[in-house]
Amino acid sequence: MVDESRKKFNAIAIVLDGVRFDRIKLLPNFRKLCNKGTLFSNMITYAPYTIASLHSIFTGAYGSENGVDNYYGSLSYRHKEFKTITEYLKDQDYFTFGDLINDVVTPRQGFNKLVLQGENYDLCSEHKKMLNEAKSISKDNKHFFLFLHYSPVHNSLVKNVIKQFTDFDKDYFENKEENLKKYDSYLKEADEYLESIFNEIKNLNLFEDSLIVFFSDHGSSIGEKIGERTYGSFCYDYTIKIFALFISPKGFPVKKVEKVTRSIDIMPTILDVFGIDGKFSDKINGKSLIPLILDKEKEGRIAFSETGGLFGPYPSPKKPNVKAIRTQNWKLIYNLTPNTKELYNLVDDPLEINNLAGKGLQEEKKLWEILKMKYRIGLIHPKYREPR
Amino acid sequence: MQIKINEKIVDCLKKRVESSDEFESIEAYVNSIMEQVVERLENEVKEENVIQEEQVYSKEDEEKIKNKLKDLGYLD
Repeated sequence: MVDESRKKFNAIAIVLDGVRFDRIKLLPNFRKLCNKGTLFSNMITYAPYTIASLHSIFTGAYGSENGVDNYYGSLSYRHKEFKTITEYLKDQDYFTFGDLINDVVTPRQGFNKLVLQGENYDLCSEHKKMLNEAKSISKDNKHFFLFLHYSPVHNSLVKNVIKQFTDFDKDYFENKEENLKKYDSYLKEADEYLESIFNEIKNLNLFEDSLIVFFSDHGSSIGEKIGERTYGSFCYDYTIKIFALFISPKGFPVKKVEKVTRSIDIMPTILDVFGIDGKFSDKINGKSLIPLILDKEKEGRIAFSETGGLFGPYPSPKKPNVKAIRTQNWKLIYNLTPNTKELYNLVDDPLEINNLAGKGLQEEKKLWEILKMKYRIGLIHPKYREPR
Repeated sequence: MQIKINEKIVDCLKKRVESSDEFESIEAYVNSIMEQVVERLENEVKEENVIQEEQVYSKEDEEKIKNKLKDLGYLD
């Protein structure tokens, strides 16, 4: 792992907004990058939409802790109780900068400089300019944290799906092949971006002294489940399964970790490898991923996700109404509206088609108890009804 | 108010009362158990109210976020 007697490294974090791991993994440049570092291929995001997902990644905590558990949640971010990765690095004298599609998607605390992407923003060229700025900073013997938001997949989904269809349009849900073809074309561009940006990092000689983290914040539907044309309404794997790829030539080995990990583990991992004490908040839910790389941790982790859609069959943009617990082989989903449970055996049924809830399986009982504890679902509340 | 309790439960409670000095009678033991249950119930009701309540935002704040969600392309 990156140690070298705790020599300071730069950090470059690149989020690929809306990118599904099961599709990007087929593309050549992404595959090449995977051969340069440690890939966590079975990572579960806290929330299947950017606002809550990125807040949880930046704080290493679930939205139920940091206050951002809904689409309007950035107003409720508990900034006094949490410190973001940006703030931790700024406290270590890093110059912190980057760009974002919009200023509600991540906590802004700790950024020295933050550019908001507007219309006609030439993303790739702006990102390269920022890398050049990073180079100038490192020439002055300073260190930097650069956060880059790759947003074109989001923009294409908005333009070609959200603005064109509803969550129930037959034209969309009966044309999965066509939807997939279009989605893959957005990812092809993302893959080209990866090559271009990685080459720039190497050309600027930033590679040797940096930790580079590529990750996605959520996936997207291509029409798997009627009621969700993109993401944010449900907690199925096509939106909550993401990835993180850590590249550092002096640190992370070339390895693929297939055990379940959580998006909230990314931030504690960066703190761990940089030797930064993350104990400002005892509410950090994530844990460093290093023990998994070293095979010191044998089991996959338990991941929680939740959402409340802007659209879909049961919109709930101001409070989450879908809660899920995901283990290596199983998932239990609790839909507060309309008060139903879904249980899936992800080994036999990765597409989550065959709902096993209510069939008396031990797994359901076990996962339900943990989910209830996590979200304090009141069993003896007078209004409580046993889910169907 | 009289409440009928299943004989099996009464036997079990009787044994525990006899084997410990903590409670003087079965009635005292039952009261203690019920107090704990009611306390838990009240706490859970409070907790659920906290968890399930929608966040309340001022009109101004809500408008601000709506505009941001429009910028992101989610709302018209």
